[in-house]
Amino acid sequence: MANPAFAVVGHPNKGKSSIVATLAQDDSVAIAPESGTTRAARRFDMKVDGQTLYTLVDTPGFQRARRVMAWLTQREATAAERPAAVAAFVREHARDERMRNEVELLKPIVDGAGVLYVVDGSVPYSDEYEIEMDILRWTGRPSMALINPIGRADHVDAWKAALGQYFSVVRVFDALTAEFDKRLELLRAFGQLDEAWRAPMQQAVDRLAAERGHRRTLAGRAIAEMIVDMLRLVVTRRLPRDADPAAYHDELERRYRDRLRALETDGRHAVEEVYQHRRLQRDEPPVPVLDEDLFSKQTWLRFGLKKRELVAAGAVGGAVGGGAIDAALGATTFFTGAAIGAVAGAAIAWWSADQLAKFTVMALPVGGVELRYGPTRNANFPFVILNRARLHHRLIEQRTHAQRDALHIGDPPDLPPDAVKQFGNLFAKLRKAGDDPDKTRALTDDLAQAVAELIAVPLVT
Amino acid sequence: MGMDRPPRISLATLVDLSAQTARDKAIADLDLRRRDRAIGQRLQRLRDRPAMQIAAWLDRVDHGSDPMPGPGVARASGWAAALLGLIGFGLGWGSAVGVFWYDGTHPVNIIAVLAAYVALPLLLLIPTGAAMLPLGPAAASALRTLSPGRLLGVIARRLPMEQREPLEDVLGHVAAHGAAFGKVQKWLVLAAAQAFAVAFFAGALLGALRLIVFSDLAFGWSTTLQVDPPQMTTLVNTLAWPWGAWWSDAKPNSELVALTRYFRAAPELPDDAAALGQWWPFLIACMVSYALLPRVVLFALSVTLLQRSLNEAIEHAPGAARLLDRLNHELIETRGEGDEPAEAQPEAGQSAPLDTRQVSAVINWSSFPAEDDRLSRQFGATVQHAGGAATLEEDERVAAQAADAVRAGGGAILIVVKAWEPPTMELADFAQDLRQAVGQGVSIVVVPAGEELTPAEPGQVDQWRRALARQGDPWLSVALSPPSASTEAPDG
Repeated sequence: MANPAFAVVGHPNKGKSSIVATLAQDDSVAIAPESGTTRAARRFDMKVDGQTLYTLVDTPGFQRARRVMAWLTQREATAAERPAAVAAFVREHARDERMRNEVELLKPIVDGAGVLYVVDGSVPYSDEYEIEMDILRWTGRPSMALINPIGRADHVDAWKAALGQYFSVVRVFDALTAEFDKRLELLRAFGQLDEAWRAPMQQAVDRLAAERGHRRTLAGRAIAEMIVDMLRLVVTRRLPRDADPAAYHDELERRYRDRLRALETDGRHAVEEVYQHRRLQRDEPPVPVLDEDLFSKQTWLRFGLKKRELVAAGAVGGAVGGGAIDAALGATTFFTGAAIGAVAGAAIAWWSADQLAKFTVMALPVGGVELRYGPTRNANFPFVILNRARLHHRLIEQRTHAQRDALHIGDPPDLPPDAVKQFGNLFAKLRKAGDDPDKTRALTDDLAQAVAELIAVPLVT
Repeated sequence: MGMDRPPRISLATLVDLSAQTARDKAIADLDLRRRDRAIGQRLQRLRDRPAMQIAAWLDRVDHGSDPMPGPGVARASGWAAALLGLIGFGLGWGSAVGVFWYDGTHPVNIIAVLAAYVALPLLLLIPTGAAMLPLGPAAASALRTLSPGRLLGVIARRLPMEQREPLEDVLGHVAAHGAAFGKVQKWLVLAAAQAFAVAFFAGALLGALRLIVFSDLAFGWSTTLQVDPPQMTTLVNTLAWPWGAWWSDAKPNSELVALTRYFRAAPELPDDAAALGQWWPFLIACMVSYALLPRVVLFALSVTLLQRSLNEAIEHAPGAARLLDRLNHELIETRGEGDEPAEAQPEAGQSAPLDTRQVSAVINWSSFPAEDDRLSRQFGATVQHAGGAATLEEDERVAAQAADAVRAGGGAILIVVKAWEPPTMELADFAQDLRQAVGQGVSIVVVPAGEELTPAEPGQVDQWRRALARQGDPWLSVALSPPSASTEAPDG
């Protein structure tokens, strides 16, 4: 049995390609306000390990609908003969350049695809569409109308009333902003058009839903690895023995920040890649993925924790350390150790809040000294990174592949209080792990899982 | 199919993995997923053994045109190991020549042999064992500083260039990725040290056997310490405990011990000269049991642990988690094949100036939502309908009527279109029919208007201009609505 296929058809420039780009998660689909951007039908197979479950076909818009109808009506076909007449039209005009669009859009339908007729709900209904809908009715294929409100949804009701006379199913679907669940719901609805399509479409929906979880896991790992790399970053410079280290502070600090930015950018790319947003930067003017600079005071305040929250997080981290002392000394000192740790952690968090990292000067065995900057001891820093990454991930995850504008950052979310605790704990352990590769690896795994869980929680703004 | 030979995991595997991971950075994620999932589906039997799965993947993946560094590393480390073994063997042989030195004046001192091949090897097991413990990095590296395994690095530096480079890359790589490869480095050095020791004691053993077989040696024991023959017998019997029960020749008795004691100040050689040679089976057994065998065991152990650390390093190498995900997670694809063919957009067309006082006909194209009266008042001519719900025959009739109006009045023909709808080829066809009907030189002006006849937005006008420019008709132009308020003359 053939897989379900759906031809996305309609008047030119009504957002057919946007719908395909969003459903196929493909940012390579050309979308332009220009009419007739799509000139040839293009297939989008949904495949699981190479096995196709369904196919979307993006088609060019109707250009000469009345001529098609004129040709068809000359056949004087009975209702039963109409699909054959459409097939004959496609056959006989296969080489007719004037009818190229019509052949491209009708051929997949003649070959067995379902019809997804797309209109723009932001412009008024008009009778010129009726000929197109008549032609589609002649094909005799299962069909659905999609109202894609490009911009405002002013005329949706008028469209619903008109489309309802031609299509048994009429849905509103905003390709630009449709959330993931809405997309799955639409795919499920496609499956309802034909009994034989129901099972494969349900299977496809299940796989896509599972894939979303998988992507969050991958994104969680990418973010965790980025945070660990940034937390462990150290830049060094060898100096002659008699050099004044202070003279090199600026240069080293600048290198440190540049490396941090680069690591964060790499992390962003990794997350975008997970969600197949790979043109996000390439096709656009050099807009940074996030508009805020990591080191601006603004960012610090917006994404990080306030000093008061930091003290709480620091106390948690300190208590972990204190608890470890307790464990070593036996349970008798338990609360004492934890309490001392908490106070110390809180104090460190308070005093280091405005400082990114410290300079250290190390004597080298071969003579001379090495000036080191990092790793950061700033308690706020990993929270800033985490929160930025969380927001970026959410924007990327929600972004449809029809959206082509620059990614803008919105209002900052607060980390949930239990997350502050949980991550404060992990960050403290990571700091403690130092250079121990096994511990760092295990903690990176823990962090990856925690981030994956965190990014699955909707942002509260 | 049929290629079920389990892949070998070696240092070369680790090196190739890191090289391939670096190469894969240039490939898009989806392409990597396609490539690796295809391989991974054939490697599902190894799913529970990640390092093996990765090694098998390395065997199958297309490496591109550049050769992989692994084979070079394997060759170079083979050379280094062979050289290390050779040096160890030579030094061991030399030590035997020294320890078993006999020029006929004094017998070979058994105490010296025992010190060299029993006491010292047993003593050296202590730092070796300590180095094998999971110590902190500082202590471990201090212990390894003394290890003969470090000769590996020294030898590597003296290899010919083609072997040296890949090996130095690896050593540099190990240093750069200490987190992932620290244990590999530890066991590599320790295994090399044990290999060296095995070669050393094998050399010593063979050197001693050569002297025993091809020359006659006399053994005696002599020490300044207060050791009497019964004590010496006890020591000897204790040492011979492992083999004493089944190899009596290698277990000297108290008579032999008493007989072969000598003092350099008063050298009295025993009467029974043959007895002086009877010590050798004991000494050989000591060398095998206390020098060679422990090192063979430690060598086997360190090779096993090296193998395990390689497995771990491969599983946790940078990029390995992603690779395993690509191999083992089903591949969901939704994107289209290939790239969208790009269509060149024509330049926006020119337009003739519109004289609104000279309009002969107004055509409402495709049901523009405005009363005929209103359009007529706005544009100053009778309104006709074409496009949209009208038939093609009706269009032809309208074109003919417009031609008549032009012949009578001599003005332009306006086509009022919905600015919010895109131009279609039907309008282009109609404009061509109209041109044929009215002839050259007559202005045909397309007026895209918003609802309520408001002026169209610039983007909307542009798309109409571009579409009509394709017609190549110099008297076909686009103007803003309402033309009475603002007549557009773009590009001119």
